[in-house]
Amino acid sequence: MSGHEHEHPTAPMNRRVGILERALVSRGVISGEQVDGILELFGREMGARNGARYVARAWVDSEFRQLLLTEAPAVLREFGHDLRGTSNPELARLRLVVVENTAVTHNLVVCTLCSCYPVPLLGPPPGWYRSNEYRARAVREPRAVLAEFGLPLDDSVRIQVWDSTADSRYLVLPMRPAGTDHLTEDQLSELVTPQSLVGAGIPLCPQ
Amino acid sequence: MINDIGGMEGFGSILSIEDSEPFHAAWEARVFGIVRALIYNRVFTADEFKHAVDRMDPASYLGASYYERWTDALERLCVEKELL
Amino acid sequence: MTFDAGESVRTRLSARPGYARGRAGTIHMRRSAEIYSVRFRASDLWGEGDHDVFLELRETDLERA
Repeated sequence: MSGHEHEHPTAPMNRRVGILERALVSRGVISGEQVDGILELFGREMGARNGARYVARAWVDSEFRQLLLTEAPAVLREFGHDLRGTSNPELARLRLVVVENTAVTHNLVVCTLCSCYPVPLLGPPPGWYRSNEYRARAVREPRAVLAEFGLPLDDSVRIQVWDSTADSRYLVLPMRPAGTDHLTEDQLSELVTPQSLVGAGIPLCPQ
Repeated sequence: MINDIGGMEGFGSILSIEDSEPFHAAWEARVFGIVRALIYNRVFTADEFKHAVDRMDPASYLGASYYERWTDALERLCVEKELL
Repeated sequence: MTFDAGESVRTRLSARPGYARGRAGTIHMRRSAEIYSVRFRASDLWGEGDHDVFLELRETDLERA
């Protein structure tokens, strides 16, 4: 017996990855500090909040919205991942394409081949997006998938599914909820859920 | 190849959309960071890594979790590049 | 060979992902020197569904329909 009968289920993988990391560090190709720094950066700086800020800005500023729809990479270069000018090593290479939801068109984003995602803006992808179920079904039965996610769409709404098969990474610009004219940009960004940024949901309604 | 599962039938309901965490365990985050560090340090390219994931033994692919596949690919690529 | 937006194309057997091989689609737009965004109807891909699927494909994986 291995003597590991009572250990936590993640212990074998913890050991395997730990061995791997120590071997690579001793070969001098990475350092533990570098890996720590990467996780700190992606945990702290990148996340759905960035996408939410971009969406809220697009809702209040129609020129910004138009630029985002036609030249998203240029907008990212100017505004950084947090809309406040902060950049990160991968942002310049992010070929972001923003697709807009309307009353008659709903967009859904997937990567059937490997779960590609706009990581330099939104951080690492969530578990459900990486699942085999989502990768297999989103392109073929998006209406059913969205209904399972709690978003049954009217038949009059056409669905467009974007499969990230090459360089482009997609961000959905959801429709601005009704009854939000009085909200500030910060308050608007609070309504934008992570799911809505890839079309797997829609923004919240104001209280 | 085995990763080419778009449109494949027989999959059930999406594991809850509440499974929103990017990492379920510390080792997953660690693999994410290690792969990025190796790419930044030009040990391999992002395309090489993706291709390594696609080359996983087909019998193991669907049953392995996302980051288990990454770990497998990472080990394989490092062996191929004589780092391990 | 370059394609124009709106042009009808067919994917070659070299195209990935597999579900898009040998299928009829329409050029949505050109993304770069080598890559196009191509629109497919779900009904053309799987014989069912009322949605569209947009993929990015290499020029070398496309031919005029």
